[in-house]
Amino acid sequence: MIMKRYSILVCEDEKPLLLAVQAKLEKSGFDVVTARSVDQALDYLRDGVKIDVIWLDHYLLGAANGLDLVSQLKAASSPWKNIPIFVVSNTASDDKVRSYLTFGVTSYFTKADYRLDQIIADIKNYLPKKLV
Amino acid sequence: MKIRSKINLRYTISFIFIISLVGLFVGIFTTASIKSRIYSYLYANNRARAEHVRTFIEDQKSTALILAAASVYRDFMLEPITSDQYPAIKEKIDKRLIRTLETDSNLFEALIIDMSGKTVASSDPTQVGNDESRDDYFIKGKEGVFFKDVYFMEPNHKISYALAAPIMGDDGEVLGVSVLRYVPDRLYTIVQGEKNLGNSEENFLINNNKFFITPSSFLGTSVILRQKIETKNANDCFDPREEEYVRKNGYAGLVQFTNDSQIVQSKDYRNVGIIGTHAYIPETSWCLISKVDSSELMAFRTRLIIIFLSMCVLAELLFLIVGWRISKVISRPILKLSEGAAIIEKGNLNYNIDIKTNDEIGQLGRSFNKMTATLKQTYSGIEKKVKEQTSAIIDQKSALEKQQAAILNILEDVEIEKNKAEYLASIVKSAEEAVIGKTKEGIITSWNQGAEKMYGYMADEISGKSIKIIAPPEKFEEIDHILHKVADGKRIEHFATIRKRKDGSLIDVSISVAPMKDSAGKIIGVSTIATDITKEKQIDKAKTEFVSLASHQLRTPLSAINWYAEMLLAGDAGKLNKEQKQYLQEVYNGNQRMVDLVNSLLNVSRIELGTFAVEPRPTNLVDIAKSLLNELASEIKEKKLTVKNNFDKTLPKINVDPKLMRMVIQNLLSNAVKYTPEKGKVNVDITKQKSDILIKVADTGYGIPKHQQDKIFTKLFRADNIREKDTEGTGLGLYIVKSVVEQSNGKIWFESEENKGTTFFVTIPLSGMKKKEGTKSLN
Repeated sequence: MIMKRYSILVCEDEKPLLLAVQAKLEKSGFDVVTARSVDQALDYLRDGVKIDVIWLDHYLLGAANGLDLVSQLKAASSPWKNIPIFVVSNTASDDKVRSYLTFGVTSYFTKADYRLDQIIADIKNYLPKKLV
Repeated sequence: MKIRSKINLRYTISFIFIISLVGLFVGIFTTASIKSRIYSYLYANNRARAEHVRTFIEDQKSTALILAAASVYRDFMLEPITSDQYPAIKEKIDKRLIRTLETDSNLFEALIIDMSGKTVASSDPTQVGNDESRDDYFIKGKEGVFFKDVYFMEPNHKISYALAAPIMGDDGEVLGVSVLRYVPDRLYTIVQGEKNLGNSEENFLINNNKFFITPSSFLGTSVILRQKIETKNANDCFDPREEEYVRKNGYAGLVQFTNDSQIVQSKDYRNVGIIGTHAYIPETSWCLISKVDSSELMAFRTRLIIIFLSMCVLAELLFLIVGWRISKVISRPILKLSEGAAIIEKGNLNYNIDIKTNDEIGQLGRSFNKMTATLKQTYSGIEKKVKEQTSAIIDQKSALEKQQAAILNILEDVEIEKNKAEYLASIVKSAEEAVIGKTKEGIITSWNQGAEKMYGYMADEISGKSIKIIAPPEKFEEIDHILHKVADGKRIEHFATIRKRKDGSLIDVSISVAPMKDSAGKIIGVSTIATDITKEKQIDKAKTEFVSLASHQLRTPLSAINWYAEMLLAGDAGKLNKEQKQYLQEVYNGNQRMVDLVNSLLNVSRIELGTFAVEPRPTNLVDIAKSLLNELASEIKEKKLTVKNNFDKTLPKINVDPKLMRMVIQNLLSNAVKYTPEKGKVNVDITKQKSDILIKVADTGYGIPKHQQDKIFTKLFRADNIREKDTEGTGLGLYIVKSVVEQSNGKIWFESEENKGTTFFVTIPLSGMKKKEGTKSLN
């Protein structure tokens, strides 16, 4: 049995963190696409890159932040509204967490308080075990 | 004598009289009834045993007859010794005799005697050949079944009895005698049986010569065939007339025949007083005597009388108590009435006799009260008039005196006060702080230089305007609230708020507001002192914002270190050697501490900025404590600590923010574990109290030094003794815990002794926490 590799879009502006996340996800069997701003992320999606799951930081390069991206992706008319989103951010203010969860993100992690493998294990547990 | 005592005495005497009378009758009747019951028991018991003995002997006689009639006996007797068949028949008969022995444990020998009187066969082979021709069981046994009375058997003096029966041929001719020898054990059992009348009950048999043939309960078996008795029972029993009657009719009707009860009160063979009876046994010419010591019967009667007497005493006691209570109920209202009358007699017309019963005494009490009330009305009418006139005269006099004194005083004071007031006014006028006077309704009446400087309004332009002119609209309600409070006579001190300058800019102020009173204490206005706290506010805000921002900024690089260290440790960049792994683990641990510190600092800044949220929901504190103890399990194990918990099983869920409560309990538990040396003890109690839940965490740890106990809840404070030890800590935990607990209207305190241990107590009201919106939650 060969497991299908999931593709994940990682949105994170801090380069060192982005590299670490990318490396760990690839080690864990994901195809990784990275973006450092909201526009970059939307470009990938519009280009038709097949994304199974999104890893999202709150602060991103440029004026738009993670919340702006989520509000677009989860809009009623959005073709991407079913993609699960995992927010991984250090700005854990309650109202932000509440906003994210209201928009329908799957889960919220505080970077400093979680290990990468914990977060990745949660994501993997959430995704259905698809076979080729 | 008091009524109560009278009632009691009379009833007691009559009661004792009745009880004694009843006791006497009961005593007489019970004694008679007991006596007659014992007599009839003794009689019936004696006769029953006698019948049993008779049946027993009859049974044994028929056994002997049946045995002797067996064909094998006859065949044996008819076979000549010289015949070829003899040995076989002899063997057969020997076996038969031994088997016969096995049928009855009291049977110890079965033998056969031929017509010459010689024993020809026996279960005991040593007896064969004995000459029995002169023995009466041979002589009488030839003629028919014969019971040989109890005798000493030669040569061993064994006490035994025997039964003999003839062995007969087909034509009725006697061929020999079959003899069965018994020990009398079963006879003893039948006679002695079970005792029902007490220890001294005794049943025994005597033979025709008045010798014992069964043991005496008092003297044992040695009396058998050796001691003769000459008692009334023994003599009566062998009275020829009685013998003849029983032989013919049995025991029925004997009482009528002898014309007495057959119960004898006399002395027995020990010369002891007894009650007894007897039965003649015609088959063997024996007598069965049954008796019991009269002293034992008396003892029984005495016991009965004692029980009855003590019951009488008890009943009397009960009666006395009940009587005392009843008489109290009756006499109490009477006593009250008489006391009340005495008090009223002394002149206290306000006294009300308190009797609530509905009987005649109650009516009497009420009439008494009515009478007193009428009396009082009459009196007070007179008294009032006298009082009024007297006080009018006194008032007039003192008013005059006061007026004179006041005039003198005022003249003196005016000069002093004038100087004082001028002095005070000049201080106020030139003060840095804004000092504002206003009416109770908030109309400005005075405005000093400080106020002019602070708000930009001049005194003459603002005087007469509402105080709301210097507040932004969102604070109007607050002002109304303050004025309302002050009008109630309350003071407000150092209240931080926001006000508006003339140019519209806002200003942070701390205000103290107090009512102004005239000399009579009446509120005539409101004074406000306001201080500009813009600078302090700015510094404070900058400080906390700095911490908050710095913490956020710190978390990003900390996450990077965390994640890379984690990946290296996981071998994502190639396998590490042992040393590398160890060093990297230290980096990782150090970084974790930094994350914890930053989280704590963030919590502190949120507490100080007031931006933390409280989101209550029904929470079970015990569940939280259990999960935290689980998290600490490895550390507890490593330090070999004994952790005991006492969790209230009926603890209700309370409405608190689970995250905050978790933080509180986590800090207390981890402190206890961290600051207790190896093999120490930690006790965790969570119990429900009247209006709150008490969390108690006690350890046997290092303790807090006495001189530093007042600083323990201070931010960043760590006690000297634990700083010297190899322990990690930020000094922020207890500060955060205290803030959270007090925000929830709870309390926190502790007891501690250095090197003995510390106990922390936290109470959280059962009503839970109040919801508080905030931008941040505490981590």
